[in-house]
Amino acid sequence: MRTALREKTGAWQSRNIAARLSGLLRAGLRRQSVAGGWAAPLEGVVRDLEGLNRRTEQDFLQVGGRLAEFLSITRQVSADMAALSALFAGEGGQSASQLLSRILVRCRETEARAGAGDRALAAACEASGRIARSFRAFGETVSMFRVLASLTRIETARLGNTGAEFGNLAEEVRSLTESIQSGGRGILETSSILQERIQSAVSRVSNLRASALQELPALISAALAALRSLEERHGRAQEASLRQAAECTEISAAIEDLTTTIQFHDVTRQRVEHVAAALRRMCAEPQDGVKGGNAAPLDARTALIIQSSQLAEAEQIFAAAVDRIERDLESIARRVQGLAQASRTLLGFAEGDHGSFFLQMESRFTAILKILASCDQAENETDAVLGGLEQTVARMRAAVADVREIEIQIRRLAINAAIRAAQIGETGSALHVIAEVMQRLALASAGVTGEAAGDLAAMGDAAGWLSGGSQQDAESVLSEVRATVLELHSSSEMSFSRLNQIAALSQRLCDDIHAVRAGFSAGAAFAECVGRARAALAQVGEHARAIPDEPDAMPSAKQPFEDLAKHYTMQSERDVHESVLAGAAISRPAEAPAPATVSGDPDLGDNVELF
Amino acid sequence: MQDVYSAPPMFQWRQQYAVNVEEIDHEHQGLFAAAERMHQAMLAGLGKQVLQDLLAKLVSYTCVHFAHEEQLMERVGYPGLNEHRAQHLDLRSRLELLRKRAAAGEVTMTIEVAQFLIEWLKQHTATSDLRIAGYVTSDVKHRLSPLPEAS
Repeated sequence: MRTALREKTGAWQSRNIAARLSGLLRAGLRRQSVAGGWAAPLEGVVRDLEGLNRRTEQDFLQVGGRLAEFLSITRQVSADMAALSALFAGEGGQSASQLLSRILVRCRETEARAGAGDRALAAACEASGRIARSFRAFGETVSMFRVLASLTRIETARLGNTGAEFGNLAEEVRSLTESIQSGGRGILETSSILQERIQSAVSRVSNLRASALQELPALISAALAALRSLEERHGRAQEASLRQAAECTEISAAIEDLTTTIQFHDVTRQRVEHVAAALRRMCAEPQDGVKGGNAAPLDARTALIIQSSQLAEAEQIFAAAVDRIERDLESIARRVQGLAQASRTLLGFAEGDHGSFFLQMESRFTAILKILASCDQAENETDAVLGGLEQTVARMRAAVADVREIEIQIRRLAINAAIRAAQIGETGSALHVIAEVMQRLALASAGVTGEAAGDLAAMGDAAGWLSGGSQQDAESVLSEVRATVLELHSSSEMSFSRLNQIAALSQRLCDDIHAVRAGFSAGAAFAECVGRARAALAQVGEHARAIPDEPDAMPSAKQPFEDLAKHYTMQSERDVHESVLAGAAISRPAEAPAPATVSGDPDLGDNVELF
Repeated sequence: MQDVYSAPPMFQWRQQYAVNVEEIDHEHQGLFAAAERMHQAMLAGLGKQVLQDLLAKLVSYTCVHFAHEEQLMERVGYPGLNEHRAQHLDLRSRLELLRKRAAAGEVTMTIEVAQFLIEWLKQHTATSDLRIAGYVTSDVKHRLSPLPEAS
């Protein structure tokens, strides 16, 4: 618009209206008296108009300054919106998807681990039961060894010197029996502890399963719902924030347009300046031979009507401009208010709303973190139990190995005893029987401890797998899930804070615009001042008197008016002038001719001067 | 997530919030500053890092500040004393609950705390407290001497 108007200024031909008018006054009114009373009201009008220009200039400068502030705030809101949009489109969505994947993987892993752990612990529990039963029966074996040791001692004593080859067989059997009894008792006790541990582990794992298989699906369901909701809202919020960023840009453009409109004030200001200058010159013209009275010369009436017309036109242009400024301010304020409200509803954010989307998300984040913490705790407790199980199984395996070593020694003794008994013939037959029984008993015992060793080896492997293996992975997954939840929360709090800021800024802008709109009284002040000025001009014009026909004066006084009329480019002024020359009755100018307006280029008169 | 955004203050004490009692205005400024620190941290996604410290400070702050306000209201015979005291009690208990939750490791509550601060500053400090200011200014300001230290 400004460019078009500048082009118009190039074609403007009546820039020197004031100069022409001044020449007219100099030539036509040279002989008029200005010292009389008619000049005083004109001087008052000049002062009034100059004051008006100063006041409106200050008003418009102030409004222009505020508009510059508004533009700055709008650009800031626009930048906020763009940042928010980037936030929605950024890592939040990806993190959400990754979080979902991790939770699902974690759930499947937990299910698999729970199934395998169940089977391993069931097998360990069964083996532990078998070991306990075997070693409870082991007492009978020990008693039998004791009996055999006693029989050996009796039989070797009966053989006397013949039995010397058996040496301290009885003592060795007794000693080994005590060792095997001690080992068996240890295994039995440890077996009991083992059973308790396994039962405890089963209980812990059951708790974990209860947490994992009951709470985790609920967790996943909640997370899925939250993330779906988050993604949907982020998608909508991104679209909305882009729309709002575009709206901000449009508001900025509207403010810039308004700032341009404000500059139209120069047009009216200059008109008023011209009128004031013309009136000032009229008042300042030196007395030039014509004795005037208190009334202005009749020809001055024309000049005053033209000035009045200029003022009327300026007033109407000014009123139209002010009206547009006020309407534009109102429109911008409405749009900014809409922006503030849209910002608040974006992502379901509502000030003071305790059920807002953000708070719901926080509540979900908290729930997810709590379940992750309980999973962590259950796993840690299970780890502790399984770690203890491994140690217990290791101790039992050592004890069983000791017993098996003793069994081997007993079998060796029994074999030696049987050989010697066979060597001494019939007298050694009883010992031979004892040795054979001892050998069979040791063999049977070895069978029991062998099975126990096999069970313990299997239990050790199971405990090792349960306490190690994928545990580290599970911890890693839990840790990653926790980090992702916290990252999502950070993203959420950033969005919340930005929206808060955008809403506050928009509201502040809206309030400021309303304040400027409410305090903008230049239109009324201008109309009032112009009304006063035109009334004063009309009054002076009404009292103008005819100048005596002086041959050397009138032609030179009338000619410039006619010249001026020919060169008028403003139709309204031309009309006024022609009507005056045609002898129309001069009256107080109640209604000015329709002025050019500033609402569109085609309506602008050629006399519009822009700076 | 890198933040290149330079944000203006969200919580900023303004002269229009002045109660015109120096100690109380100074304490209000402290409250706004603490809230703004939280807001700035949240804008960077780091609200969790300042949460516990902020809540601890706020709990400590309210002990002194609310006592000051209540002393002032008592001394000037403010007619809304009981209502205002009830508001203090409510704010204090809600703040204490938030502090306990944060101390128990609940870190994802910064938005809730921010909502709480907005409500506090807008509905209490910038509204209820100003009614005290109006009363003090219009009636008995000239009779006030500095407040004693709150226990």
